[in-house]
Amino acid sequence: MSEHAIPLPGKVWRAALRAVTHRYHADPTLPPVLDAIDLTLAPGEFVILNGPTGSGKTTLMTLVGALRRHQSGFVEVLGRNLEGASESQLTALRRDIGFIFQDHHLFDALTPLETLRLAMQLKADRYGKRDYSERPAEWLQRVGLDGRMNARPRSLSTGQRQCVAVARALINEPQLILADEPTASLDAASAGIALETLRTAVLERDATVLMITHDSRQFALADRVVSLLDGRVQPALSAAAMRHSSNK
Amino acid sequence: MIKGLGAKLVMRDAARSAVAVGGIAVAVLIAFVEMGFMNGVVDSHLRMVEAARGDLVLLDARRSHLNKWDEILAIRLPQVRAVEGVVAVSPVYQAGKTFRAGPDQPDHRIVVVAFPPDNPPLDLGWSADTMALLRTPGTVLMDRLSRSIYGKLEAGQDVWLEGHLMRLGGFVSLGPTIVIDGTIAMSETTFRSLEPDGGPEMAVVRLAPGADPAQVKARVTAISGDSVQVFSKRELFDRESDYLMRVAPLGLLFGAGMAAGLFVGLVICYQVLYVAIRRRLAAYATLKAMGFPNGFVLRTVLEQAWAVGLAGYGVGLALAALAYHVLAAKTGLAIELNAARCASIAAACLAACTVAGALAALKAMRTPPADLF
Repeated sequence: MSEHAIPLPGKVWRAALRAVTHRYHADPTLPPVLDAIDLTLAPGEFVILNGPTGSGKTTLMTLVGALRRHQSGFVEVLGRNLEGASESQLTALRRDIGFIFQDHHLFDALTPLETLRLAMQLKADRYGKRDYSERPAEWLQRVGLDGRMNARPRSLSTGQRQCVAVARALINEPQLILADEPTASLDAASAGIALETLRTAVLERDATVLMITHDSRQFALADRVVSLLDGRVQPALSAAAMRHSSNK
Repeated sequence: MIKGLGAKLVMRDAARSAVAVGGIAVAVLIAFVEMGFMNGVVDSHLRMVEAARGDLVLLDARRSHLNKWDEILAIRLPQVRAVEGVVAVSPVYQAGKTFRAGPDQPDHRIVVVAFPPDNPPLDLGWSADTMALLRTPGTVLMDRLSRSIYGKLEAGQDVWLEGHLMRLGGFVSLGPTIVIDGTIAMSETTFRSLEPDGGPEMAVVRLAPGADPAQVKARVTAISGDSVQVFSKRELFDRESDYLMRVAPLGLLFGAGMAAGLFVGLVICYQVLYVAIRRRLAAYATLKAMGFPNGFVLRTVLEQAWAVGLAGYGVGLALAALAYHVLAAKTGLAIELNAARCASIAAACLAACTVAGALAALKAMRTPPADLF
């Protein structure tokens, strides 16, 4: 994986894609799932990715998250060119990204405290012994779980579990956070906590968030809304314009 | 820091883990019982060698294993006695006879062992009393470890050997084998009353202090020619073990049973782990998406395999100890646990669990984390 910066003038990007086309089939007569995508994500930017089912949002998310190899074009994530990156290099890169999935995918045997400690192992060189007791507790307090730190996941509500997943994604303070409909199955209170935590990461740490959502009420959080249709980025609209358009 | 994720997954999934532990325990028990029978047959067969009170053992050249009886030429014994470095040569007579515990009791086959009574060539747990009784003509000593078919016997009662009335003086200890139900010991003189012309089946040679066994063996071999085989006790142990394991072939028979037991354990362990991994596939894929390498996933699954393997082994070992106790009492065979045998089954059990864990882990390792989106 090349460490050279993408040859884009004037700015350091958290992620940049140029002319990225991706197919899941070999037949060139069928349309690609992503077609000549250009996208940049700047530091401190909260970007919402929007589009109908099958528009390529998920594929785009997995390419930015180094979970899938791009087939053509150029992809740089956190200053690393992913062209020809080995599996272990992609794995290492993912340690610098915070992932929040639609479902929490917690280990049923681990308490929230243990779940966060497990995530901290990815950056073990940063932490001392004391951090493993204090830091997860602080993060669980932030997401409103200070009374449920030692509970088993099955005794937590769906919203509480997703809050654990949010804390798990953020505990190592990643510069890039990828969230796939993180509030889709949450009640309003839990959704508010999750989104507020993401917004705080952007404001306080200059983190970059790329979040898929269909909920136009959340567009207000975003600096920018990127809309995909049939694998192509649609002409840019401000978040306010998108919200207005969705509400019509 | 969280340590032992795999062990936590096992401990906090008690019901499924109990199934795995139970399955592995049964597999370990099967392997132990197969091994117990195999070693019991071999060790019981070797009791006669172990009991030999000497440095070298002579057998007739035709006697390819101890269950085959061929007499040594009687002339060989004084010849061997004359060899430099030899202090004593004691004949051991063996013969199969009918035994009756009372006039109205049924006949049973029994093996008679006989030897000169002054310095017995076999260690049968002698006491001063039994040594004195051995010298008394017409008095015999019963192996107390003989199988129960001979009935309840008491010192001082009459018994009949091949129709000859004898007095049961007391008891010694040797133990049955897979083909011998019981043994009765007597002096050479008493034996002559049963078999006037019988020759020794074996001779035990004692060497002078400081004599080199290898050199004496070479001299004995030189004067005996091809008619006699000369063994150190270790060599005879090895030959008899090899015969039973390879030629008989107990190694194949019981080895296959042990392997089948461990294979059952492997399959159960794999099945339980595989189901557990499938249930948590998204959680494993999340670990990979977060940046944990496949090696971490493998380690986590192996930890689970080893945890259930060790627990299953512990339970299986406890059951095996109980089974050995019962089997040894019922069969009279030398079915015994020792550290080396426990270690070998433990190693085989952990190896099987490692294979099962590695195979089950493939499911999680091959799942692309991109599928989570």
